[in-house]
Amino acid sequence: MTYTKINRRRFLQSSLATGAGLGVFGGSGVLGALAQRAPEVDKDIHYVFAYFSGGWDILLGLDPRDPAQFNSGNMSQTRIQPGYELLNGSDGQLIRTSSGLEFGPYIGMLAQHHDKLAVVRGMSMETLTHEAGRRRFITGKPPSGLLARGSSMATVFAAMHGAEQPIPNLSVRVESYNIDQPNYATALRTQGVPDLIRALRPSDPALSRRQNVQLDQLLSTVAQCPTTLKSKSLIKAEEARKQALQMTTTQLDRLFDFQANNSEMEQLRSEFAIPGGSAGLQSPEAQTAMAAQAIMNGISRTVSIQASGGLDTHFNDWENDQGPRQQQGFDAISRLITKLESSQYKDTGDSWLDHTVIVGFSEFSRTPMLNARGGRDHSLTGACFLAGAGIQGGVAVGASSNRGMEPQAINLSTGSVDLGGEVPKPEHVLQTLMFNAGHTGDEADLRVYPIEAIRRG
Amino acid sequence: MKMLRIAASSLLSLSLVSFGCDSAKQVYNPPVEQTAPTVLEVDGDPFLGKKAIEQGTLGETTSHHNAFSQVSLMPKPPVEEAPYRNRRRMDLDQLTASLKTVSDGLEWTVNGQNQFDVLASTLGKPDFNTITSEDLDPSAMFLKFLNDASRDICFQMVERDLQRTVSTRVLFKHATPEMTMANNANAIEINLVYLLKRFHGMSSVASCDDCDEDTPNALGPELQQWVWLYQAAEHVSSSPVDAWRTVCVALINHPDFYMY
Repeated sequence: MTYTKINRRRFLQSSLATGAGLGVFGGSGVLGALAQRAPEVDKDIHYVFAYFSGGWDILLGLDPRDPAQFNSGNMSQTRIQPGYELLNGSDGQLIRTSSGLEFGPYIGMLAQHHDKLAVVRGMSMETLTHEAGRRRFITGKPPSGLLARGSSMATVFAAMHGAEQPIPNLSVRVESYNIDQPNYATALRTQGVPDLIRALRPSDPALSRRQNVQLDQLLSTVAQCPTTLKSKSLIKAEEARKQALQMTTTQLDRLFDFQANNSEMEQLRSEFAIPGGSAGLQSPEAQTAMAAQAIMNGISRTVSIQASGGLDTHFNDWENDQGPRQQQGFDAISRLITKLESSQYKDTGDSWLDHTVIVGFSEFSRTPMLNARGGRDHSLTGACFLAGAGIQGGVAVGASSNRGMEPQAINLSTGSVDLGGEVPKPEHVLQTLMFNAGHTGDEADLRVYPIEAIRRG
Repeated sequence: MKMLRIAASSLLSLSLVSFGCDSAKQVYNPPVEQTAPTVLEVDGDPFLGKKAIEQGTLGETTSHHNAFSQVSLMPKPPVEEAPYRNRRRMDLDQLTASLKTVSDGLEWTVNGQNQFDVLASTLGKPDFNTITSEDLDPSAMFLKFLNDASRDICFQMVERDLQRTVSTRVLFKHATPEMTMANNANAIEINLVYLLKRFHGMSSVASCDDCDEDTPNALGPELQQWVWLYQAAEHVSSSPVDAWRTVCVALINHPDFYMY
């Protein structure tokens, strides 16, 4: 089946019409086909968005090329230069898995989870600007200039699941936006685990318990004034004050004190390979441990982390830094998958991975040809990976072209390249998550269909 | 004794709720109902009637009903609201400067480092590399660290004031640490008025023009809240110093301090 390009009105009209037809005729058309596949719908999903900052080189990880076919001998035709032989600290060998997925030399431990991974290749990020690409993936909407349009999807998912958790939306070193969602879904943003721990600790020096109550009574009463109730920002401030108060009264900081000298933290340090010293708490390893703790302890519905940074390698830092930095992020995510997979979800027999979806993304990728300085510049072609709840493992959908690694249209149902299909973009990936959570009415205004090929059916 | 304190504290809480906020200021007083004729038609034309009034030729007019009809010439104007603008949170530089100003030079420091500088990136201050505009959301993170800052600075202020002479004190300017609500309520109120002006820029909180005669001391509603807080805090701690510390923390955590 081939999808044609649609606008939002047509999407909604066809959804309604086909939905009605489904009931009468037992299913026909696009939604009929989707219904027959009956992909899993799970409304109790948690989300981890792992951002690889700076623009990753997908040749080294998610979208490799075989040097036997793409090399200096034909790169003037292919416009693709893997450059694996130039890498310091790597043998440049591709990783081929039993599920048929192929990865670049720096995929690291993530390859062990190939059977749970869905890789989307040949995406178009439609920009060569860091901020625009990042905000495009975070919100699922093209920014207006550099300004994000719409709320972060992490915020949308947090809002959809309600305010049950103390910190529904937690974000470490990743931007977050709340334009149109309830205040409780606004991300608690921090630049690292140490600041998060500090934010969760009771304020110091302390007033007495009764004085704290009186303080709260006064500020709560002020918040009920008509002038306050007329002001969105004052209402927001009061809600945030109450959230801050709640955060600090439940001793949540202990869950993230990864350097504490106790058996629980010792085990976490080992499972996530958290480096020692204060810098270790800023590492991707500590951030993934934080994500696991926040989700598995019922603190957060969505967690955004910066799994890797410093990937903007325009110079010869590419041959030294690009690969290892990517791999550090991949390894950290791999440990997170292992942890979630090995932990039982609320006495159900499921694992936490069955109820958590992980999305790894970057703002765009890097040019397939090395520049004159031995680095790679910005390329608007993108890729991403997903794992966990509702995601079909062991599949790669889409492909960048074999000439210049350009984005290509795909059939969203099969995932194969199809000139009559659609070029996959971040919104397709995010819409897939919406559908997996049972939200099929385009509530997030993404205006695209999901990528059915990566939905577990 | 403990039970008595709890009961008294509860009563104080109830009283806070009862006078809550500056409700008198929020009530819109509708215009007084007109008793003069509002509709006067001349040959069936209200416009001519109005013109006749203006020209003083009222005696020559006729009316279908009578000159004191209940129907208005024009619909009532929409209820006017006092003009207001959206509040904006101070940025970190403004906040640091404000704290320094109200505390007479104190900063939130740990080991000599200004903590707003340490937490700059978490609190959304632009580094003009990855962040180019400051996040001015009154977020939970911001309010948590504002609370931390307020406690640190207020504890410093109290300690410093206790060492200073009366004329150079900041927190105990008009009420000494020995004065209580029982022995000098007037000085406490004067000091609260001074602090509200210092921290929130409020200069007309002392009296209440709109309150009825039974309002105690005819205090302004804003001031009543702060009197309550002081009184309640003094009651549970039996210490005016602790009470002023609580008031100080509340003043900084109040939106009138960090939003404008």
